[in-house]
Amino acid sequence: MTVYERDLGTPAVSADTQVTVTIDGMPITVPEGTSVMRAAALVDAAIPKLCATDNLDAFGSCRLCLVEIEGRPGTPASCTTPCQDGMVVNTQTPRLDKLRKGVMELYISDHPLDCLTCSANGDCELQDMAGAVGLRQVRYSDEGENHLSAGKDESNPYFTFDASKCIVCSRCVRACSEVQGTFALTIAGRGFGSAVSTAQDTDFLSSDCVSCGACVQACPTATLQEKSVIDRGVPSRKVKTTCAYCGVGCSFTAELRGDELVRMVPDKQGGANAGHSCVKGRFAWGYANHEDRITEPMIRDSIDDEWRVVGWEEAIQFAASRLKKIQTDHGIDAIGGITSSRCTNEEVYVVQKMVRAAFGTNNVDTCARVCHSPTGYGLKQTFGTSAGTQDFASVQDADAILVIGANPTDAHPVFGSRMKRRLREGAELIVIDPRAIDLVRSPHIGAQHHLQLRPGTNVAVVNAMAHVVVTEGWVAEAFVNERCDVESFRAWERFIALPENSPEALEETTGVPAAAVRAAAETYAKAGNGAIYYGLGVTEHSQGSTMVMAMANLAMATGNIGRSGVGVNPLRGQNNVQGSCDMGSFPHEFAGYRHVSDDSARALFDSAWGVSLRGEPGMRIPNMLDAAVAGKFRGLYVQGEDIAQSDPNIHHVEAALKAMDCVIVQDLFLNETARFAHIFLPGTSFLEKDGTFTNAERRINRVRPVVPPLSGMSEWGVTCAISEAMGYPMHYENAAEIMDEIAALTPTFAGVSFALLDEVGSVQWPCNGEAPMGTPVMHEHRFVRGEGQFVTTPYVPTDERSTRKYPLLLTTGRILSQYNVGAQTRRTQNTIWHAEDILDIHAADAEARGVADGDWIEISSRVGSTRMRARLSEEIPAGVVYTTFHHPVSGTNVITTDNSDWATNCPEYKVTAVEVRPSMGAGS
Amino acid sequence: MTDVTQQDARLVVMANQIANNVPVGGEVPHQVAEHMRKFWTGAMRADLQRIAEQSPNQLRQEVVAAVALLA
Repeated sequence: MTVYERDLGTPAVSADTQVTVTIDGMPITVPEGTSVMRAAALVDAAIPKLCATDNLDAFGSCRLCLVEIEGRPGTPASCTTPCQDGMVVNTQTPRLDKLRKGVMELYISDHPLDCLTCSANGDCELQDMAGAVGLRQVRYSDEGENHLSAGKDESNPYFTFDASKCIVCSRCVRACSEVQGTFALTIAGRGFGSAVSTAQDTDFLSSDCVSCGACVQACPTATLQEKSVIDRGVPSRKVKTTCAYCGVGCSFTAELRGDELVRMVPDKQGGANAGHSCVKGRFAWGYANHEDRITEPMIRDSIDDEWRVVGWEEAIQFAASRLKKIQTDHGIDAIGGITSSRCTNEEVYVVQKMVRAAFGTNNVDTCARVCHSPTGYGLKQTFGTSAGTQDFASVQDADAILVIGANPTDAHPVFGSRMKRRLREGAELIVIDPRAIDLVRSPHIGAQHHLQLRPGTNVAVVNAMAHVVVTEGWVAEAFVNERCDVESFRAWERFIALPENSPEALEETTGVPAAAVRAAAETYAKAGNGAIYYGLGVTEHSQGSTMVMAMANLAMATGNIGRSGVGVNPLRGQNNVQGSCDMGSFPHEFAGYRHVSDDSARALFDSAWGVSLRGEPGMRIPNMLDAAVAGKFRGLYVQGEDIAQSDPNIHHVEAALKAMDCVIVQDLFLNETARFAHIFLPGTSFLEKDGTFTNAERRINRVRPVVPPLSGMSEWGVTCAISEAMGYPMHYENAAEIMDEIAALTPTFAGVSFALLDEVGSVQWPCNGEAPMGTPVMHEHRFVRGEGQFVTTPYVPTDERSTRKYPLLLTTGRILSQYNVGAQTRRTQNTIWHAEDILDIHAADAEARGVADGDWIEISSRVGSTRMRARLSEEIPAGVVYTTFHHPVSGTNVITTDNSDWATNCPEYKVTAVEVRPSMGAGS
Repeated sequence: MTDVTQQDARLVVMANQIANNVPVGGEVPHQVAEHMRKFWTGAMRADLQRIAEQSPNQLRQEVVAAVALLA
């Protein structure tokens, strides 16, 4: 039994004109431009094929898909022949049978006849096609020249390349180019010597390959094969679910053999990823069964004691009694909770409900505090709701793409590939970033404008761009007059036109030549469709919220809101950042972003939950930590988050955790925060969860259980048990009932249910009576707040300045193969690409300090120091250094400060004044 | 400096930063007060009021005025 998706051979075509053809006597109407192969597949007259697959453009090389067309000579390839109105096609004739057998015979004559022992037995298109054409004998012996002894490349940790089985159909080469956009593969040689090769003729591991798996998925034979399939066998059943890594939220089919997961295959029907994947989602799922997993609850009286394994009941009672005692001794508000963007909407919802209803406090916050809380603030002020405006597909209609403080090819790689495709088609690219990220220059892509600004000057640069738009007369007056609050626009217009906001006035501050700013502004304003995509390089600043509003101003002023191809789009870091915020995780808001002081909203929740909720905001994470150090906050429930590695100024975080009487950690592993915990509650991996994730485009996707929870309990079930032990029972039979409650209490989710998601795959909120199938593009006819609100955004320099003692500015980010604090990816073979955090430093800065490439260095800020290796890099300018934060050993956040965004307290990870010195080694 | 005054120092930094960053054009004290009502706990606002009474010179004038509006 196989589990594979139907392949229609060539991509779908959209056209205004329809044509009708007859295939093997069956009429079908298709959009003009549809291939004969696809039309035939749609009437179940599948034509044999090898080089064609429906996520790649037709290539016409294998000559197996030949057809006869009445009134035309010859036997054209059906993959490259478009349907024409009235066309009559025959796909099965004696002539075609003979031709196909001849073609197949030649393929098989140079292919190992080891089907019974081949790892792809049962999952091989060559095998299937040999059967389909009725091949019964091969007249050519293997004594002639052949490729049967070609070598096998096993360098990649996740898949092999067995050249002896390659039929040179070019599907892998085309997948790498068309789908992934990396161009790591090519066909080397000519004629009989043609062979798939990496671009530099190295092994796969040493090549430019990013291990996205597109080539493996495209391969019709066992040439490119997952090692997990080779080890475990061909899968026999499947479960559709959603990736648990970044905010792209790719849909996958988990393919199993019995109860053992064999591989994760990206889902062609996935709204976010359309069948593509990256190295993390495709291959890096081994952490789910890693030996470090803790699957039994543990408790201890003191963090100096050893852990004691206990049953669930004892752990839950222990946790509840400690929390209750703290509240008795120190007050209701002496405890709180943190929700996780790695957990499902349903899991997050019950945690915030427990904190508000069972704990009786609004001291609940989420890890979005340290990433996209400024997005929530800024977009709500300007547009009226806390969410990106577009779906991912919108980028295909963009004419100019403005990427600010984001690195999509590393941090959101599947969307990055989609963006690169549009750029190859001709969209213009503006990158605003201190680093020369991959998009600035990569195969067939080059940014028209790279504004390489000084860290901390985002607002100045975007204000300067807006100044150009206003003073050059490029404002979309009709849009502004019709859609926006004109009074606020006029005030903003007067502000932004001030000479102090001109590119020339700000050039010295930003380090960006005024002419470059003017050119970029013109490109964005005049392109037609201008789309902004941004990441944590926007939000994690002392003016993160100001910057979000500045971008929103720019988009509204140029009319780039409310249709496909435009918008302001946050690229969310974790898989469910959007969802965790939607679910009421912020201390000032209920689900659906309604303030706790809103009497009508509070009355709704009071009634549904049967409690009297507080109308005062609770503490944010940094407030909790400050209060803990002061002895006022003493108990914390941490759901799936590792604040002792991810949050800034780790020494301060550790001091706060040490000061608490009860720290509860719910996680897969004993993470850094668990060093300070009294109760450890085992969590569930995404393969064990039942619920939903909401991605960066507001798409709500189902997460389905692939295997049962290793701990024996769902996470939401554990939360409900604690809540009951605290005196507030929450009764749900399953996760679907939790979503039903969310829908009943949250207007933007009113139409969402597991039944709907199972029926249609996914929907994007708002999903309700006005938009029963969801909303791909927001603010199409009116802004959520009514009229778009312009907000004046004065540039205020951060207090974090380079000094004589700390002359360099450190900025941080992610790398493709690793994810956040690395709790998952460090427990996979992804470490082969990134085993440690490295400091990128400009050659001039390195030379001035006597640092050579690969040297150990010590990096110090005013709050701490750590050690790591240095790498000389041309991607960053002199005066700036860069590193990642994936490894606890280097502990990058030991040196980041507790500076934060003025409106949301999102930490200023992107600007830390540091000094770098040579060091003797990791422990010196 | 005790831990409690560390927390006070943090509140002072936050309050001054808000006053320095609110959008231009509006009444700064009103914007600061409104921001604190929306996002600060009652205890934090009470602590800031105490700081404003005990050592107002740590705070920007607009913050002191905002604290008066919170009363």
